[in-house]
Amino acid sequence: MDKTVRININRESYELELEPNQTLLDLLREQLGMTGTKKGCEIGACGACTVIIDGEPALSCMTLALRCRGKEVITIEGMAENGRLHPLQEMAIEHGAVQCGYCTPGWLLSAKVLLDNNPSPTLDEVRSAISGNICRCTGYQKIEESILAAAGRSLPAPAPEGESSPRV
Amino acid sequence: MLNDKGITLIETADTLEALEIVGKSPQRADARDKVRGSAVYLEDMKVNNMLCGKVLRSRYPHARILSIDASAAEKLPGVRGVVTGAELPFLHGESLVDEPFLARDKVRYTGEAVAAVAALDEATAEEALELITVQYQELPPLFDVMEAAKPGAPLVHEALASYQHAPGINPIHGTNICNHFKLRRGDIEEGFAQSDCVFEDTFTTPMQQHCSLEPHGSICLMNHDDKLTLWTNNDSPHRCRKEIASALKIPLTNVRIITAPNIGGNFGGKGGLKAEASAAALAWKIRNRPIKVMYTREEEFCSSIGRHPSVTRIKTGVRKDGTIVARQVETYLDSGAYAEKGPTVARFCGLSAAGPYKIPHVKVDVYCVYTNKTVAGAMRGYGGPQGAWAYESQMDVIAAKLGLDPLELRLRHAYDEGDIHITGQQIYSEGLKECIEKVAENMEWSRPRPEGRGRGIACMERAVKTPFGSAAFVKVNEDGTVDILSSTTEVGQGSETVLRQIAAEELGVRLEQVRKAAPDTAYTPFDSSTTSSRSTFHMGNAVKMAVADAKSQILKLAAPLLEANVDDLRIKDGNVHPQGQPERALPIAKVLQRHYGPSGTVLGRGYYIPEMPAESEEYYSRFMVHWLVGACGAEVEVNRKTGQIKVLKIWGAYDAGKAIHPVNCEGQIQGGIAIGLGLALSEEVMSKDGAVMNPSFLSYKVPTALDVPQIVPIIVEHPHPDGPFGAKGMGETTNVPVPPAIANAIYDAVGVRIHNLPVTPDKVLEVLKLKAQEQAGSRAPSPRRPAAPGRGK
Amino acid sequence: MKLPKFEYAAPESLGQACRLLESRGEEAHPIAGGTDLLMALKNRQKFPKMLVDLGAVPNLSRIEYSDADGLRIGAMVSLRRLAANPIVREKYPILVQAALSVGTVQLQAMGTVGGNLCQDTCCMYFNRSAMVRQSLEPCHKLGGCICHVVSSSEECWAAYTGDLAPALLALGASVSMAGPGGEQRLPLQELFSGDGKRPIALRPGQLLAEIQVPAAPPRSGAVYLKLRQRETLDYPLLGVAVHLTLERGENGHCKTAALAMTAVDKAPILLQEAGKLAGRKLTEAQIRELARAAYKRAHPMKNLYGLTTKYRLSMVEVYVEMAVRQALESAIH
Repeated sequence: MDKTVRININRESYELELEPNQTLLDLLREQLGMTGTKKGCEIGACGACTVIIDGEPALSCMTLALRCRGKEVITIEGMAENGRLHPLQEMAIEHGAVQCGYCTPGWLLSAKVLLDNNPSPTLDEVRSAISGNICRCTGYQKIEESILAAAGRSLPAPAPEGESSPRV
Repeated sequence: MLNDKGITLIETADTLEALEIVGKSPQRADARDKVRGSAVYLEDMKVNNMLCGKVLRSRYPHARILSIDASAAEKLPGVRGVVTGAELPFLHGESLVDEPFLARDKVRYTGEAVAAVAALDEATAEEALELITVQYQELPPLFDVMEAAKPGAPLVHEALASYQHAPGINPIHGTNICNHFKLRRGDIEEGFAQSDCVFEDTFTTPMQQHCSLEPHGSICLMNHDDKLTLWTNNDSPHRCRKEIASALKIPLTNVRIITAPNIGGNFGGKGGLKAEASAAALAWKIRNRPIKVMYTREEEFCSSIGRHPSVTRIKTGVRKDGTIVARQVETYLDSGAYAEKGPTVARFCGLSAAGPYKIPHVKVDVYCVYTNKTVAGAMRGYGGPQGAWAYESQMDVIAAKLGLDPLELRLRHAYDEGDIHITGQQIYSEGLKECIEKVAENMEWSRPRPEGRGRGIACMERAVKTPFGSAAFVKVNEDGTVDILSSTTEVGQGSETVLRQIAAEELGVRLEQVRKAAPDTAYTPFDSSTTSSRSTFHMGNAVKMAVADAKSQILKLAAPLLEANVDDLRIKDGNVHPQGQPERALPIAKVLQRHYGPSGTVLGRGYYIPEMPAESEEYYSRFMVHWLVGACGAEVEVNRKTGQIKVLKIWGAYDAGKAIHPVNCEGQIQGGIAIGLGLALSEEVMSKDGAVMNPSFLSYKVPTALDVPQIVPIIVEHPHPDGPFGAKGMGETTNVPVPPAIANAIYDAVGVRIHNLPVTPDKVLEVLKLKAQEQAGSRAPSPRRPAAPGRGK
Repeated sequence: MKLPKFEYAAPESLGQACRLLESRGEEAHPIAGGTDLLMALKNRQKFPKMLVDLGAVPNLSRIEYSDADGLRIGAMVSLRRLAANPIVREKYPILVQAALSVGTVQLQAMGTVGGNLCQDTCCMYFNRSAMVRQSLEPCHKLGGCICHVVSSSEECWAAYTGDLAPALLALGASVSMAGPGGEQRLPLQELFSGDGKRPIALRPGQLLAEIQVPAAPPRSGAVYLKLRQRETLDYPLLGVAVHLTLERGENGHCKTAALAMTAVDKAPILLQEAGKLAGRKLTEAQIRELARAAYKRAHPMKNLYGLTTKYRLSMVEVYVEMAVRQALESAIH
């Protein structure tokens, strides 16, 4: 069968020669030099390699590159459009949601799928949406706050007296 | 109290209030690249002509290597070389030099590196590994730390007596104990004699793994002149350089460590030689080819390091009124097959093993013990979590038995300013009590909780490694911008931003004018390590001193131009002006240009090492430049039918001295608490016959976004007289008090005390059932009744 | 952790796919979502020479419903699409619960209903890479002759841990298989062989094409409860699905009752004893009796990492009682 495959990646069309055992992660990182998609576990458990394929979140380490024939793939490199950061990216910076940054591309794309389908999610929906992206640095809270902020919402239910984040 | 090395480190309240950049939370320098996916990590780096290295690992926990046949692997097309331990007669180690680059003569744990292959690509390297045959002869393995510690146990290291080690490390020859740390204060027997109640408990902790999202990785190139270049995600380039140079017996200048621009998580895990050792071993043999070794996630679990599993016997003597008079602690840390940082972990564990409490009679023994298991090393908290699990759990055992309020018991014993620490050091600028009080206040400690719910509190202290130095250079460029040259690594903790803030504040320029490059030992000066929550304090001071040095040079140049005295000049927003006359501003760029023409630049240098009292040790002293302190509160709900625990909310208060970047500090609190939550409830590296059974994120239970409850970060600020702008470190130990806080809350909710981490529902249910039987038994006239667990004289 | 080399084919019809699989026999393996299979390939647990991609086969991704025929789910429908389908959400919330309890969001988006049903069994000794497994002798599942879970056993004791199977079993689902002998429709439980080593009873060339679920009767309630350590990502340590239909009227008599479990045996368990509740009023005593029957039938083994086997067994009754109560509640309302 014809090994030349056309895939649309970040709104650009690519004609690629692929091997059957190449994963989408291999293709992106090694063949195309798009290293923003991270390799954290290679067995689909950490979420660092999350990309969007035809609007759905996908683990690129568990996706055969050949199976992306004719599909539209969005990686972290394609999240900002025309040089403008996506509101999720802006809010991630603003809210201190980024520490080591290794999980960041993955959860940003998971959050993008969420907001694309549900522009004003609740906190629980946000937590579910990023629950497939392990973060060891942040304890998730600032990530969740940043996603809610990007959706134009703040954390629900004003904390009772004395439960905010006091500095003394 | 400490010296002032030419600049004033002590801040007055006035100057602290006038701060413009320090104490704010500007955007992190690295965040924009990270959200764009353009931040470069070691994993992303390629060097021309690079080979891929892979490691063959031992299938036995303890076995003699009889022979290794790599001929078939060497013949595989694409393979460029195979190296085995016999070719590298070297040992390395941080404080005890015991580890070969690749196993020699025998293997000491399942997963140990036995041989390494370099090939043109990963698939070929993996294939080649399968072609190497190793003949082993099995030796009796040791898996139990208590058995391994006994005299007469089979030896993991027969040559322990011959190993070099740092001062203050006390290996016991002829045993598996690679360090015995002792601390004595008062007379322990006298203390117990004065006590009305003596509590004796045993607590254990499992191995926890760092789970940095980026695995260990290194690229090593060595030429025929023994010049070695290592690109790595190691957390401490100068320590790494020293360990490699000493092991290979080459001069320091022959070794150049280039830190990757970004490091994908650390938590203490990236400080030793892991991928570094394998890459260096290959480069030692295959010269002039850069060779990259990246760990897989499984290698992270099986062949890097984890937190020391521990067994702690803690015996505490208390008067009827609740006054603690004596505490004896005996801790066994399971170091696995090599010492790694275990000897110093044991030391730090021991220094705080009695808790942050005034206790007149203390006896501490911590044993770091070799076994044939996965190696343990530094991990966030560094001996703190093992200690706090025991002393903070037992505080509540004592409180329950004597009918005291756990909060009050802690506050009554917590160190005050001026108290003498069990190490003999006088306590100063310590915000511990305030941390405890703030947590109690925020969690509404005295609020009654509904049935099935409970609240718990725990606190902690841990040493900051002292005395260790940090150096920095700053370059003030011809346009007035500033470059910081410092070997502190950015592992996600935000040090790059914090150091930039300190520099910008000290010089009087905007934050955007200051940049910090990633370390490269060829250019960036010495720093002992990015560990121990020491960077903000030590490197912050070094950067501040370097900037002060540069600033004084600039002011000297500016004085004649502005016709003013140097002492009257100020810098604000990059402009030099006489005090009170901002209209007479002269940009720094102009000052340099007028003096140097188009090639103007000013270099500043700073070196900070705390000055030590005369009697203190020179290496890993008992005298600490500051102690890390904090407290944590948790509210939980326990299901009596299933034993399942729902943590509803966690509060954490930690003393930052002065929060240079409050949002970063909050992030350190929340992130650390999530790691503490994992150790408390679910994380445990499980091994069977020495082999790791759960080496993946599917089976090793790292908390996900759905498992972490709301965490309320509370920043306490007790300024340190010698800290930059009063700051001290705080990030490393935010996880330490979390497990006992949660366990104490569980006890408050359902009266169940679990002694072995993690506290899983099966353990809780088991005790709940026992208790129910006990109660049924006590109602009925039953002849025998199971003894209550632990405690009581 | 590179994938081994294999051939790849993407047939464009079900017939073509079946013929290809039949002609290549054991060498070929179908790939649906790939989440289970590619992990097995990376870990060197399976060694197919060819992957037959079902992604291009038409008509396997449909969800259809009629009151007469009930729900028909194409085998290639993703778990995420199943959970988002309005009819499924309205009439079969248990399927939403089960689908959304699988793995993570990404795995739900990639994984398919057919693939989830046909997933391989799990065992903590087996589900590790070749590198880590080398410290143990190859077990039955790897062609060896030892079971590390039950060392004296002649058979493999890996556990079936699918989440959808118990939910669909409780709903009385059936499956259509395409293959050399034409299409075949079977009750779902016949898909499972009960062999830990080879848990799915598909012959070479046979493919799971569609899942049929009977129309949701009025006054019915179904619930899936999953025991695990984390709120996501984990396989079940126990999964209990209960489906109850009540008679008309206020007396609370049971019309039908079904109970299925996962992760406590080599195949999902459909508990026959639940059928005895039909026509009877659901009393506390009867709920306890059912829970007891489930307890007796469950055989959790030390093959999954996590909580103790003893605990998992003790949770069977607790979870069954909880599930029955919740199903009853939802049937009434």
